Formats: sequence, C-alpha cells, structure tokens
Amino acid sequence: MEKKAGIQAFEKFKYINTVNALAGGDITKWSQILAMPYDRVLTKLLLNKTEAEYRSRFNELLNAQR
Amino acid sequence: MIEKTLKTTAGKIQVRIPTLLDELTLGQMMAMQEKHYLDDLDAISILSGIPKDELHSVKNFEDFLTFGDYVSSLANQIRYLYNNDSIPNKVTFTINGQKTAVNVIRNLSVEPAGAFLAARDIIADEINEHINLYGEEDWQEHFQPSLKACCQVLAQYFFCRVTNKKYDEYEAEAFGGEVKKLRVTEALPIARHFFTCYPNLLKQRIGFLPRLRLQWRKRQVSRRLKSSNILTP
Repeated sequence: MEKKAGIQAFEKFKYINTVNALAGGDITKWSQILAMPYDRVLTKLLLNKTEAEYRSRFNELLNAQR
Repeated sequence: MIEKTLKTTAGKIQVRIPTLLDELTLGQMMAMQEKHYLDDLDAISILSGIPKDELHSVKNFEDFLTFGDYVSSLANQIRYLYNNDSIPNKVTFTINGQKTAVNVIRNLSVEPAGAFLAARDIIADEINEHINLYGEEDWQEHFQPSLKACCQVLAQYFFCRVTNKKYDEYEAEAFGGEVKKLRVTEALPIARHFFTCYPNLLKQRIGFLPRLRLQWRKRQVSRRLKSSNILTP
C-alpha cells in the first residue's frame, strides 16, 4: 500500500526522514535532535514503533468486534 | 621523506615527498585514488603539494627520476594498506596551531545522533554501490570502502570529539578537511572498523538489566566458590 502510494520518493531525504518524524515536522527542532545522544533517539524510535504496532493491533481487534 | 632542490626556468623549487606509507596523509591518498590515470608527475605533484604546472617548469626532467623510484616503492606499499587492521590508541589533530589528542580505541562510538545517522547513511550508500557493481554474493570478502567515504565517516566520528562543539551537520561535513591531514595508516583502520561493524556504530554500553544479571551471576559464582570452599577439606 505504502509502496503503491510512492513512499520511495522519501528515500532521497535519507536520515532527515527520521529526524523530521522525531521533531514532529518542526524544522526548528532538527538541530536539537541531531545533537542528542544516539541511544536516547533509538529509545524514542523503538517506542514509536511499539506504539504504532500496538495501535494497529488494537484497531484490528476493534474492527473484528464490530 | 626525500627532499631535492630542482632548477626551473624561473629559478629553483624545493620538492619534498614522502617515502614511507606512514608519512602519507589521507588527503594525498584520496587525491591519488580520484585520478583515473596517474603518471609519475601527477603523483609527485600530489605528494609534494606543488602544482603540476610548476613542476613542468623544471629544466631537467631527469631530476624527477629519483622521485620516480620512491613513487613506485610507495605504490607497492599502498597495495598492503587495506591489510592493516590495528586501530591507534590516540589520534592527534593540529587545528590553527593547537594540538588536540583524541582517545580512539577506548571510545569507538559514533555520537551524537546526527553523526551516527549521517555515518550510517554514508556506509549504507557505499555498500549499496559496491553491491550494485559487483553483486551481492560474498560482497563482504572483496568490499573495500573508497577513501572518500572513509574520510566522510571519520569527519562525523571526530567532529564533536575534536572541536568540543555542538553537532552541526554542515560543520561536521567540512571537518573532512582536517581528517584529510591524518596519516593514512592511522585513519584507514579506524574507518574500516566502522564499515565492518555496520550497522552497529555504537560501542555497546551495559544497560541496567544486563548489569544486574552480571552482578547476579557474579554473586552466584562467589556463592558456589564459597560452598566449594566448605566442601573442599
């Protein structure tokens, strides 16, 4: 689905995609994120991933109940 | 180093070139690697830092013969450059006349996040380029990163450590200029380390849980040892 929508167009932005996502799209926060220790950034990325997986599972269960 | 004063049409020039691999900088090696066709005069120009046009003004071209021998000896040594894996304990930078020594072997993590992410992309691009050219099968066995990529990764690794500045992606990239001044024999093993341990560019820190487990194991071992003392007459 994401591929069909053309997600690969974002590939050229490389790590800026990650930084932008962590900054919530706020460009003024990019430099703050870049200067953070990497393990903190990694923890946040893992947290986001876990949260997304949980939401997706939760929605699946919700849809199955309806 | 070998130094020789040569007569030119305008006067004299002093040509000084390295004779040992240990005297060669990363920048000099990069300049030689970037040339598609490298003749002796190109090599002498890069190694001495004298523009080729100026070398053309030397009256007697046979004066270069002495340098030619050293250039070919250096070329032979370069073949084994990628075999050297020993990471130096310390690396010293001289910026604006001020020397800064950085501990390397004890701190091989690419930090902060900006440096880590940029270095990871540089390495990934280099590996992908190699795979596109030569295929995926056993790529690790014949993969040799370009010196340009090595320099870029090292710039990310060293920038904050050497300058003590907050990370800035543009300044970190420009720091490559300082990295080029490092000896190739000390720079290349450090860069190669990051290419071989990719994608893990952080030296593993021991977190709370593993630390607890370690303590627990130590206690168990100590208990067992105590018991063994009891059991042993």
